[in-house]
Amino acid sequence: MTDWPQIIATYGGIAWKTARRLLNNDADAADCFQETFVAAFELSRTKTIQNWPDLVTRLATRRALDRLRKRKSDGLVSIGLDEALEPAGRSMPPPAVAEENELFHQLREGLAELPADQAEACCLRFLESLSYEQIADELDVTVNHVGVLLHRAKLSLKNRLAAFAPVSDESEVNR
Amino acid sequence: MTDPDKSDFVEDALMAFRESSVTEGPSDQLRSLAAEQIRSFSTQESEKSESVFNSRRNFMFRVKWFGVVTGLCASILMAAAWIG
Repeated sequence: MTDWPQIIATYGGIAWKTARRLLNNDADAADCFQETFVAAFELSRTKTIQNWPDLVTRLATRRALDRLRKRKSDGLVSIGLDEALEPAGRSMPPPAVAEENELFHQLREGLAELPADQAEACCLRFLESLSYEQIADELDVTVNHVGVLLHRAKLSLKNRLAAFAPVSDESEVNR
Repeated sequence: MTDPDKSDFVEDALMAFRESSVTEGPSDQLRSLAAEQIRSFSTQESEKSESVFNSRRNFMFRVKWFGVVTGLCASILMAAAWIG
């Protein structure tokens, strides 16, 4: 019998961080948090969970991305600028903070526009630091396919973030 | 074709995004809310499976009872035919 309060206490932080970063909004992150554990509960009825942290990360990422996409399709464009984030452990001048917030806003928009599997692979790899093998396990694809998904995701994001590219990279994007 | 390996600024941006601070959480209230939600799902599920079990048991009981009554009637009819 799964001890759910214990599971939530142990892995709740992972789900919260994942959802809150992507959604940039406490209320949405709270909804996503609950959906994540309900989904985990439903999964646990049909199979034995071997790796709770990876599962919680994947479920939270998927739900947060779904919500991000829905916000975008509903025309709620305030994906990123409603609650500006302070960069961790750094004090930056206001223009730099504004620029970074705009970058994060564009990143969220870019992730919301990517096909679901690319966005998920990208988040798991670059935001959650999962290995290719872990991502392949979680997404139930081959390691090579993970590479393809990341390749495509990076190309799309590169075009989306062209304005933030260093000059040499930007000229490459425009070519 | 653009070589994605050269698009380091994308990875840099994602890295900065990863390092950005996130509001502390989840609150204790949110944790207990999630645990309560799962508990209620779990209770609903067991009540549902219990009710399915009960309805099946009642059905089997009726089938068995019908069999007994039918057997009894058949025996009475056979006895009546034998006597008559």
